[in-house]
Amino acid sequence: MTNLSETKKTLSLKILFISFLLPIILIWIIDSSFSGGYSGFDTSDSFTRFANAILTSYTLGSIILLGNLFFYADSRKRPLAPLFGMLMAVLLGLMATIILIGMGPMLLEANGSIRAQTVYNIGHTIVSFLAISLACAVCIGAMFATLTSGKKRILFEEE
Amino acid sequence: MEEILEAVVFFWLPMSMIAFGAWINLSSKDNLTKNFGKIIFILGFIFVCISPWTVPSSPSSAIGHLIGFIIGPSALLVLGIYLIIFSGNVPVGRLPSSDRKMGLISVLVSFIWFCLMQWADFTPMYEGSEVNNFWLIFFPTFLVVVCSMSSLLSVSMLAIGDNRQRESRILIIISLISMLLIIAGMNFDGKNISSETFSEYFWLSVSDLFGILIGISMSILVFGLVIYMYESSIDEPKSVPKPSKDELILASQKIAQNIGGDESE
Repeated sequence: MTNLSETKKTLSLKILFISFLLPIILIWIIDSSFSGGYSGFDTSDSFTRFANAILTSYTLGSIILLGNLFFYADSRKRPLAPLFGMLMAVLLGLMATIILIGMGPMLLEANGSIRAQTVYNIGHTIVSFLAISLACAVCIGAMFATLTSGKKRILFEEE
Repeated sequence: MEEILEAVVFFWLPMSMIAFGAWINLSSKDNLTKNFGKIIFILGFIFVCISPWTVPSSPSSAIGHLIGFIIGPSALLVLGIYLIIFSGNVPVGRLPSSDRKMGLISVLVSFIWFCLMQWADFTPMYEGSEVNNFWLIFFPTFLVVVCSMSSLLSVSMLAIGDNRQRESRILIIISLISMLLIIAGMNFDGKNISSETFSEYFWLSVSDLFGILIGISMSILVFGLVIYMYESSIDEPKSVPKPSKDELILASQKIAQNIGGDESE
C-alpha cells in the first residue's frame, strides 16, 4: 500500500508532465480549428526527424557523459571499466546511426548520403540545443525574476 | 583545399574547440588551465562565427551565420533578465532599482528584435537570397520550449511552492505570449517566411524536441547503468579501526580550542 506522500508525489509528477504537454496540444487544437481540419503536419517527416533526433542526441549525450567520467575518475582510482562501458555505449549509438541511416530513405531528410545526413543531424542538434538552452535560461530567469520582484517575505516571526 | 577538408578545418574543428575549451575550463582546478580553456573556447567561437566567410561553400557554415544573427537579441535577453533578477529582493549583490527598468527595456527590445527577424526584414538570409535553414529550426524550437517550460514552471510554483499564485500567473502569461507568437507564425506570413513554412518547421521542432528529450534520457540511463555496474562490482571499503585513547584526547582538545566565543544575547 502506498502512503499519502507517495501518491501526492506521483500526482504532482503527472500534473507537471501534463502541464508540459498541454500547451502543445492546445496549439494543435487551435491550429486545426484555424485550418479547418487536422493540422497539416507530415507524420512521415515528423517520424524521420524524431528518429534522427533520438539517435543524434543519444550519441552526443553519451560522448558528453564519457567526458564527464573524468570528473568521476578523480574521486576513484581512475578505473578503466566505466570508461570502456561508456565508450561501448557511444560506439553503439554511432553504429546504430550509421546502420539505420544507411538502410535507405527512411532516415534521410533531403540528404543524399549517410555522411551528409550525419553532419546535418549534428548541426541540427547543435542549433536545437542552442534554442533549448536559451529558452531554459529565459524560463528559469523569468521564474527567479518573479520570485525576487515580490515583497520580501518574513519566514519566521521573531519572539 | 578540398571542400570537405575546408569545412573540417574552418568549421568543425573550431566547433570542437568550443566544447573542448568548455570541458577544460570546467574540469581543471588551477587558474592557468582554466584560462587556457577560456581562450580555446573564445577562439573556437570566433572561428565558428566567421565561418560564412572562411568556408562559404559548406552548408554547415549557416550555423555560424545564424549565431552571428541571434547573438545580439539573445545577449540582450539574458542581460535583461539578469538585471531584473538582481535589482529585486536578493540578499547579496543587489543592483540599483533603476536597473530594473533597464532590464525590462532590454527584454522588450530583444522580444521586438526576434519578432522582426521572423516577420520583417531582419530575417537571417543566407547567401543573400534564401532564409537561413537553421533559423527555421531555431525560432520554433525556442518558442515551443518557452511555451511548455513556462507552463511547467507555473504549475510547479503552485504544486511545490507556498502562496505563489502571483508568480505562477506571470509565468502563465509568458507561456500564453509564446503560444500567441506560435499561432501568429502559423497564420500570418512574414516578409520572407510564409505561415506554411513556419507551421511545417514548428511540428518538426516538436518531433525534434521529444526526440532530443528521449535520446538524452537514454544516454543518462546508460551512464547511470555503467556507473551502477562498476560500483556494485567493487569490494566494500575497509573499515577504519576505532580511534585510540590518545587520538580521542587529541580530538577533544582540538574541538575545545575551536568552539566557544561570546554568548549570544
